[in-house]
Amino acid sequence: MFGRTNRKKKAEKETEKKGIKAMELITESLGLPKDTVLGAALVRSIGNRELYVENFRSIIEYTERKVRLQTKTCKLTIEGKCLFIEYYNCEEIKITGYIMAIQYE
Amino acid sequence: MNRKAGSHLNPIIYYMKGYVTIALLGNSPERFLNMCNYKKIVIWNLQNKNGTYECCIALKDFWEIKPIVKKTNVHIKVLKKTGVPFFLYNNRKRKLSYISVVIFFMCLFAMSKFCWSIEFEGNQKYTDEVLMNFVKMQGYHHGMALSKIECEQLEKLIRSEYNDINWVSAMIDGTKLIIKVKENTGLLTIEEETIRSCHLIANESGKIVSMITREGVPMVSVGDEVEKGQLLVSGILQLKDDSETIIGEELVKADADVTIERKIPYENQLNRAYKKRIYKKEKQQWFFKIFDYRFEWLPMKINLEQAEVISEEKQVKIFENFYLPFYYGKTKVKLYEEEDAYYTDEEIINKASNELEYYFEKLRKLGVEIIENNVKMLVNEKTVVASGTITIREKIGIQEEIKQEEFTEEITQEYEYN
Repeated sequence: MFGRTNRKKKAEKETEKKGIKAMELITESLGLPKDTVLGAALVRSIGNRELYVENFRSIIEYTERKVRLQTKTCKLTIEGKCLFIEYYNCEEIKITGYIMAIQYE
Repeated sequence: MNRKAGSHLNPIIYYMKGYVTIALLGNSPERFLNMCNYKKIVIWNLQNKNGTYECCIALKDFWEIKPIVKKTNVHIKVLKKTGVPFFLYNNRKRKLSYISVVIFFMCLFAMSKFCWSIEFEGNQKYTDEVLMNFVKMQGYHHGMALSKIECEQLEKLIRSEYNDINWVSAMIDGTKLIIKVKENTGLLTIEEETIRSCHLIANESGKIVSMITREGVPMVSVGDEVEKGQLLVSGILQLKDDSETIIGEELVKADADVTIERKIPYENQLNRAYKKRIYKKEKQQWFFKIFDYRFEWLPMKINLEQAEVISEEKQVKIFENFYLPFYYGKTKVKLYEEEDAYYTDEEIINKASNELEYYFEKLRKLGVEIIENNVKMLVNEKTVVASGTITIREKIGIQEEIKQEEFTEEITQEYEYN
């Protein structure tokens, strides 16, 4: 019983991956904006002191050293020191502080 | 790619509307933040302080987070309240002060609609008082509405009244009416040619030291002694032919520069006795004036008959040209007592010499040259008398119209001779 469920889940994941790849191909070939079509997150940084993130869903975790955001396609981790969220709304989030690393999971 | 405009937070707007700084305590503050985001509630200045989340939220949105707080099981603690609504609430018992501030600005605005100062620039011959009196007679005064001031009409009135003023400009700056004038300081005056022909007559007696004739026939020469009323230059020109026979006469306007030297008497008597002022106290007093009402700070009860009063007044202004009908200043009162005194010889001679020098200065301004001073000082017990003669050189000559009989008689005599 569990074997069938696992196999089903695997198949679903594979289909999803194929779907995403196909969408990426179409987007690239037609020159469409990826953030709108694919829901990709827009990350804009000014040096290592300011970071703007658009097209995200929610905050997973926030501490002075780490901010984790959930975007539509992946999880975004910002690591650093004295991280401060200057503003946070449905459109954009601005993070200031000493940014040391940005990771996509 | 459509780049969305950044969420610019306008601090002034948020201050005007009011916002609170809150602390989020609980297990899932991130869930609270995400739910706020879902409900489009803006949060800013979010920071994690030792496990506690602190952030700012608008007052309007604060009232809407109650269901979110319940759902996420988060405890909210208000740390700080900022903004105009909180300021007004905290000072709700001080309504009178706010009303007075509002009234103050309303009064200021109302007063800015009137003219509280009139200033003149560029005037030399006509003093400020003279021009001010004229302007007042035309209906322009302190305290009148700015909308009623017609600058162009005022300029025309001043130009028509004063012929010496070539250019006038009236403008309103703030609550000040500035009138700039330019006077005709040159000597370019057009003389009205009413007299076509005339003689030049001596208006003083003396000895001629210099004579330059431009028009007419000179009847005297350098070195001659002339009397007052004597003919200096004749305006009748005799026309002669080649054989020196007078064939006719022509009337001209006699013109010449005639300088004579003469002596004029001078006499001046001064008394040695005088009233000397001994200054005792000097008091200073501040005053304040609103419109025409004057209020003095600690008014002085003094006898103004034996006091010198010097008053200095200033008008209150906010900016350079925003004058208000409030004046302030100080009055200096010097009390004195008079006692009899006598000039010493040296003092009285100095005084007499100064007066003589002043007389000379007046003569020089009239174009008179001082050649010799024979004034002597005679000092007595009670007076000093400065008397003598002053030799001067001055230009003389006044125009006198040629009489009809004079001209006709000359012609008749000529014809008879022929």
